[in-house]
Amino acid sequence: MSQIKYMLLTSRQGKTRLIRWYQPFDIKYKHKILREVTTNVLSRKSKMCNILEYQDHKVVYKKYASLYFIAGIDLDSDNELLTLEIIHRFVETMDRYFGNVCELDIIFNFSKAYSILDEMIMCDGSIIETSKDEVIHVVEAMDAIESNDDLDRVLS
Amino acid sequence: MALGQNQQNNMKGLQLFIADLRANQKTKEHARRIQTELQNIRTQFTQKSGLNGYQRKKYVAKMAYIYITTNAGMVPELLFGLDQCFQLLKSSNFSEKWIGYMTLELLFNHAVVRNSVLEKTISCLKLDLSSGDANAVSLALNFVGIVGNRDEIFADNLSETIFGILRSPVSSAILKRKACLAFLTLIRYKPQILTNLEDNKRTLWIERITTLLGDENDHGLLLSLLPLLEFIAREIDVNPCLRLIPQLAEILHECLSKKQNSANDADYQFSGVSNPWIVGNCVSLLQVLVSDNGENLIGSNIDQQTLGKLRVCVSHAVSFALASDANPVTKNAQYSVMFTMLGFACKLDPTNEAISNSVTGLCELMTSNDLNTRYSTFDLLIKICKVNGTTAIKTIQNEHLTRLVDMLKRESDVTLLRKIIDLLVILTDVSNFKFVVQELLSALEAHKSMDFALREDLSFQIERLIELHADDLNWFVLSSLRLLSSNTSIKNDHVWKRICQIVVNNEPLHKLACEHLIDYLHAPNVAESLVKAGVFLLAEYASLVNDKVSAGDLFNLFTEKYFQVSNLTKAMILTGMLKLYHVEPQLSSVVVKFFQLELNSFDVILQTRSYEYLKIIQYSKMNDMTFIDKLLPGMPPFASSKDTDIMSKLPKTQELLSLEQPFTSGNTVDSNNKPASLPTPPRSRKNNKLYHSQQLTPGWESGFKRMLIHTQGVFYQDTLVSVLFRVETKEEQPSTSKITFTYVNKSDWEITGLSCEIIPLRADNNPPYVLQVLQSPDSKLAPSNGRTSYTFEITTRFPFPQEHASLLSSQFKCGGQYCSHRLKIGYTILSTLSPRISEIKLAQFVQRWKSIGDSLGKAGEHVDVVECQHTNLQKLMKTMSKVGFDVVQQSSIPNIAFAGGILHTKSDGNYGCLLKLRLLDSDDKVQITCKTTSSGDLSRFVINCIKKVVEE
Repeated sequence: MSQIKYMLLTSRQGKTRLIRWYQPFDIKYKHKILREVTTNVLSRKSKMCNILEYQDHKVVYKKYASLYFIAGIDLDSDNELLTLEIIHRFVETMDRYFGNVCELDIIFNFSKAYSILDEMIMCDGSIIETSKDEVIHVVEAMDAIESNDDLDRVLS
Repeated sequence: MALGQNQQNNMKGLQLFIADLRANQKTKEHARRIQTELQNIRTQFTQKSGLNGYQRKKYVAKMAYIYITTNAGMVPELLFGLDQCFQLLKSSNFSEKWIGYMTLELLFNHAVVRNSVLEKTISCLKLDLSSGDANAVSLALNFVGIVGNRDEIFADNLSETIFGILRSPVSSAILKRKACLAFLTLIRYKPQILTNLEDNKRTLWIERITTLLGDENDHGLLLSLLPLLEFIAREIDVNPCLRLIPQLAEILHECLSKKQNSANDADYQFSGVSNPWIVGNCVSLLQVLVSDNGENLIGSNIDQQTLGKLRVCVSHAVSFALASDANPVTKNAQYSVMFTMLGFACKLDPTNEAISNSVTGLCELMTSNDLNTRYSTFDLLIKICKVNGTTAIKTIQNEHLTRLVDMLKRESDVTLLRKIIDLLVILTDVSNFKFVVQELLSALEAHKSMDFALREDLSFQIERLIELHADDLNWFVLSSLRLLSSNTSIKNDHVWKRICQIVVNNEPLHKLACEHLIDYLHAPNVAESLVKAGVFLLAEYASLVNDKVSAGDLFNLFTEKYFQVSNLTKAMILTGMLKLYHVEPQLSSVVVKFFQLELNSFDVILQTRSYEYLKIIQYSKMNDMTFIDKLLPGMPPFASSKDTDIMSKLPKTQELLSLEQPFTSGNTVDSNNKPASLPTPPRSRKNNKLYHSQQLTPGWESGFKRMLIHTQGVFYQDTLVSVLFRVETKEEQPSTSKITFTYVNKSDWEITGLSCEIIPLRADNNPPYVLQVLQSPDSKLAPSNGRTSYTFEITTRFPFPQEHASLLSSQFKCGGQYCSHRLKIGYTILSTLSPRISEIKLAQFVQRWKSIGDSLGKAGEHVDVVECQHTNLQKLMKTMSKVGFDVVQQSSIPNIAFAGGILHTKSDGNYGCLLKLRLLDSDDKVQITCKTTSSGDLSRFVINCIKKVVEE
């Protein structure tokens, strides 16, 4: 079971761009994680491995352009590499959707970024769908309904 | 053009707002802009004329952005918008509903929000979950899947509905997947929703879920179903899931062995290795199902084929990962599959050779260029060493210890360093501890950049190793002190305290430790923890080293250190000085002078302490010199309970060097040298309640009866499927039979997810019969007459009544319909009959009948009457011979049939059995008398079987 505790997107300056908590932590602990994990990850050199042990869990991260994708996973689960794959899939899917995704896309279309993430991961980080096409297909369908709705609004 | 780009201008106001905020990066302006916007939203929401849906959506989306951009810092300021958020949720317009759910998902992280809107949320969710609009259902399921673990109200109210979506044959694939995970979220938060169900209902629910595994082609469903099954197997009930092992093996096999099944599957493929998540989830479920040493794989319910399949999977995974030189992304996927499989392999084949092979293979990857691979390699090696113990440890020790030490010196990445250290610690035993401790100490001294947590961990690990293995005192003291002296930045006190405790409790160490401490303390820039230990021990045992250093010298040494250390240590030094005075009263003038000086200390503790000690010295000088003797009687040994706080920090460490047993010679206690953290014993997977809780499918009797009489025929049939049986009794060992059930698909649809299981009365605790599966059925059956077989061997150990015969439980899906059958298998004590070649004559029969009667009396006999219409002697004799008895061919006695045979059991030996069946001409009844050579219940068992056979 890939137990993702949280998924976090942080800019190089340490600003949170997207965050999804999959486990109920209390506020204080959340802030602590945000602060410490972010600093820890940002301070690591590029020639180090993408895994970090932090308190009671592992942190798997990967840098894409100016964004760090960070996932907190269970200590016992033995799939850091798999988590990296999930992150990669997420990035690829956004890339396909936005067309060469950049940080600005995620800022301006945060709701879409959340949708894509939600179509891929639910419930403590279990995967719903790994196929890019499938995810895009669903999000596309959502877009279609949305523009229909908007059209209705304009016409009425 | 990419899809997302035409979406950009959807909500202009929102885009402008975001752009605005980005332009104002300065904190002050940023905050002001947010405040103005909040004010604006507030006025908009309170407008009398009301808002239209689009505006509402836009403003709520702005609130969501404010929430994100302030890092969740402004929740209280956003609460006013919750009502509008719910308006969106209730909207029939999809995009409005979507923004509503998204915003609420974000805000739901906060208890204030939850508490105020829980009830409302649930009623909205209920509406959406039962709506006909798949998109609304999907949004609601997502919502439950993401925040459903925040409160049990979700589980209480929604689990039935969500389960309904999950099992409904008309739900679309994507809804099923989401329902799977939403349901998992709920039961993970509150397992009681399953455990508190009535037994029957729970069994049914779990069965419904397990049959979903049949839709193997839908990778998506498989992905979300596997974690759900894993949770059920792990936390609820493992038994109903055990039967899935062959199916899972098949899925793995398909995943790993097919090179490239089709082009449109490309998303699931990475140059030959199929979806790593499917493999990962599959294996992690198998890890739960297969007990720790793999015993239940070899046991009753798994056939060799399945086992073989799994082994092939492992070798496939390894060869893929090691052979190809693909791009890094692919490589990562392949390695993840390989590590998953290798982790599982040790359960499949726990022989020493296999383990040492896989360990050797893994060690090659320690120097991989990809750092993540290195990490995973270390991680897996540590796991293998922990689970498989000595074999793995020896293998690495022999060939790779020096290499590891080499890496320890060079590694600069903290994550990897930590893993290397962990591995080294596990590898340490009596043969190499000196070497390893030495290297670890050098690492501690050399890696100045190590972070605090790791340094602390490392020093504690070293301390533990030293303590565990020390076999000579000199080495113990030297290493411990070296450890202390390199600990310049350690704040935590437990290492030096631990060393002090051990030295105090072990008398031979007192002098030795003090001598070395003096040398260490004379060096400049001594680590503070070393000063602490030094002051404490030297003051305590100053008299022992008098020949080397006088108390006066020690006093000077203490004074020198006094001004280099923190207040806490200063306080300790003050106490040390008092003790020195006790050892050497001539020091009184300097000691008193020192204390008087410290009366002016800024620190109130030091001041008080100096004052008190001053008074003590004055009092003892004036009144009673023995006062100070009574006050400082010498350090008593530490009781072991005192170090509980140390132990609690490392919950897994084994018992440390015993504190109650001071070591008298140079030998430490050997019994502590067990390998760390023994694997927990496997949980018992045998559930005897299982047998009795099964409800048999109506109409099972006819198949049961047929099987009693015939060796092959129809066991069960309905409109969808028919099950044929075939029993082959082993000639050389009639107590064992091979039974084959063949499933034939009679419908026009494919049968999927077929899984079968034989449920014995009990599997442990001296069972009357034991099972061994030879071949598991395929999980799919082609429409119209596709067939598959399920073969197993059954061995009777001792006589048992027919009521206790084993059950065949099977379940499958056909054309969207879920079916399950529970049928009693007609394998009884009569199935062990071996007919003899020579015919039995009436005279022989009578003679044997008599001799049994003579030796056992009434004990071996049982009589019963059974009703059966339309029978006659000929029929009766024919039936008996079909069952397997030797029937006496005679015509002299017209209304009695005589039969006999030998019953075989594996443990209790063989029994002779004789039968008289008398037709009572009155009203179509047969009186059966049975004599056996057993004085137990055997005759009754036999008669009950016969009754089943002859009764109509």
